[in-house]
Amino acid sequence: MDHRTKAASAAQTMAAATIATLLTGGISVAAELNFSVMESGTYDRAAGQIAAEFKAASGTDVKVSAFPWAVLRQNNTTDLISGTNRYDVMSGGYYLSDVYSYFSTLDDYIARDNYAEGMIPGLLSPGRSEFVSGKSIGIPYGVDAYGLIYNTEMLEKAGVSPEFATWADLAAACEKIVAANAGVACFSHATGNPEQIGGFFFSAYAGTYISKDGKYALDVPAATAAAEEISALWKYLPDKGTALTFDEAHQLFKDQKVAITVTYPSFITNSLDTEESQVKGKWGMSAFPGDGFAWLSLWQLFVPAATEDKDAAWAWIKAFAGPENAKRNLVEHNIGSVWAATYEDPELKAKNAHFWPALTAGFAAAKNPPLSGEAQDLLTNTLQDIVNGRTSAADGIASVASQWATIPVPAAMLEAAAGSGLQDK
Amino acid sequence: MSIPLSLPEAQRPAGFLGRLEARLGETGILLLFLVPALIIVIGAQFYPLASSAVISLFDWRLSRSPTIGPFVGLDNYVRTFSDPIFAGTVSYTIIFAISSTALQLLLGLGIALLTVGEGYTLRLVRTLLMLPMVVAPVAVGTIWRMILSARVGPLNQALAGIGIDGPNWLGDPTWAAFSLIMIDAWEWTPFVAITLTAALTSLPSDLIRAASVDGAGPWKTFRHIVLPMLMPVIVLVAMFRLIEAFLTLDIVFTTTAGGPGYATHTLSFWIYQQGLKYFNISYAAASSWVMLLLCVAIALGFLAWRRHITSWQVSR
Repeated sequence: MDHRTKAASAAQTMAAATIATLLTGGISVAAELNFSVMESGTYDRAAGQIAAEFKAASGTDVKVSAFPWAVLRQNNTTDLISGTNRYDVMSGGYYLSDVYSYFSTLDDYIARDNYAEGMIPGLLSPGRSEFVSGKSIGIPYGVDAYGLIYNTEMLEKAGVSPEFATWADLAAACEKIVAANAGVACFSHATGNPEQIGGFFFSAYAGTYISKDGKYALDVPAATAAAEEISALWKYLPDKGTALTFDEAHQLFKDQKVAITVTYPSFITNSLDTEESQVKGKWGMSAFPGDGFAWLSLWQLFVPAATEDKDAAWAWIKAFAGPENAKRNLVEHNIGSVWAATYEDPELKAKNAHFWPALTAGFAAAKNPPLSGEAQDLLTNTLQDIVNGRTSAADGIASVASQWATIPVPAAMLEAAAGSGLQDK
Repeated sequence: MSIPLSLPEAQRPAGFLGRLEARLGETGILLLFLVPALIIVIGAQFYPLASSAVISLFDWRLSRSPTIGPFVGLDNYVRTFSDPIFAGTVSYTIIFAISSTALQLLLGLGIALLTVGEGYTLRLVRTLLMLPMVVAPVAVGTIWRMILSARVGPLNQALAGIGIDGPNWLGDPTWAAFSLIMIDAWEWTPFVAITLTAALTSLPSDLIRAASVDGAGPWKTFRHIVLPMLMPVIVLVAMFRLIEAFLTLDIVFTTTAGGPGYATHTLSFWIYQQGLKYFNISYAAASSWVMLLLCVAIALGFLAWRRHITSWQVSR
């Protein structure tokens, strides 16, 4: 039995025991709960696994509905706004800010069970997880932050140190990397997912997003400079590399056709150290460049106000997102644990020593932009237009700035911006 | 001789209908019979239109409130016309609709001329040609997205096989715009071909034979006999396809998602995003009305053109 199987088996036993303990505490549970989650082959699989154990322990049947990200976002939002109330517990993140008012506050449950104890410091706070009027509405269960994963051999061959203060530094290094490694492009990225270009902007731009008077606003010169920096970097993508999916971008790195991949680490790291991997033992992760922030991916569980049995919903949240299943979710599904103890596990710590320091440092510094879906789409689509040469950085950013003025800032985003220091003082 | 519209009194139906007709008169009873149909038409068509027109005059963001917001007059229309992204969307939609329709007409007419006639083979070819039309548009978009993948898609691999470096179909704004036109044409050319084949079959064969007897070759016969007689159908098909192209959403959603950037945003995609993604209901309603008026203008233009062609043909 290898370490992974041992760890999984131990975690499974613990999980079942925890669920049983939770349920013997007199919590009344409903016969059925509907749960929406992203169809990723990770979160949905973990949910299915835990749902089966939850049913065995509690009798509550958790129906897991999994959708690709964009569909999940749409289904959750439509479910709330239309009053369909199909899902009792929802998966999401800050992009649901338009509908925060439809969720229940969970402060009482958190306080009752001392739930936040042991969570990575700062995760359960405004600007990182979701709050309405100072009260928590989202319970974190999967954390990730944009990272820069590099091929050690290729960078060494080019004489490049894997620390880049800015994207301009990376662009300069790209010249050397491409020159030293024939047939290799500098970096890959999921360029075909239009919103992902935001990851580069949020790290390159050190300004604020909301003005003193509570309107969306950019520091136009700084934002223009950031857009120009990204535009210059785009030249170092692989040939025809401007519409890559996550899988394609990752495969290029695994096939050693690019020296660096810019991505969410949890999407790729577990496949880089397998026996079949061409990059096993020759990859690392470095701090994300830029004076802004690395884009945080913090999956959270929300309970709609319309959910009838909130106690049952909370029991499911604890089973799915609690510390007991965190290690198994990480080992088996590469779901970033939100619990500090997972990263202190000696076995895991030793195994992941080549990237965990950068990864955990990324968690500490990463943030979410305080943008509604509409404001974010406007920014990222325009950035796509800039890097593809449809408009200049100056015109594109000026256009975003003027149109942002017409988009209302959801109240919860003001709270988040204040919490993460992204509003003008 | 005029035809009497009402029956003589002696022949009127007896009983309830007779009494009703006597009371309401012929026009009254006709209107009475029309009422159920009118209710359905008004309920299903005019009410939603009128409702969206009203909504477009208010500020209603569903994400803020489930109830309609304050009256803002024509502000949403002003915003529509001053929005540079909307302007770009309209301009791409026009390019997309005209190019795609023109391509479909050219290819459809060519296919119709090649496959008109009887016989097992021709019938089989026509049946096979219909296949793209019966595939769900969402599936069409998904399949084409895979085919057009610049690095691993089969199309570029096939092109590489013959020494051609295929383009960045979906990653380059110009190629992405062209790709959507190509996909739409692939899907809907069969509709044009089948319709024009039916029209060709119904043309009077004596005229074509007479032209041949008079010494006209195939091109002259096509140019001066077949094409003019087909024109009313071509115009009608062009109108249908152009309006349908204006409404294209599914293949955009599944193939490019309107990108890269805003390069392939069509009007329908824009309205979908405003209404159902951002829940800007009033703004989406105003944009919908702008699109509706564009479609009505196109339809009226085409119908006038068709009338003109038909009356010209009758006069000759």
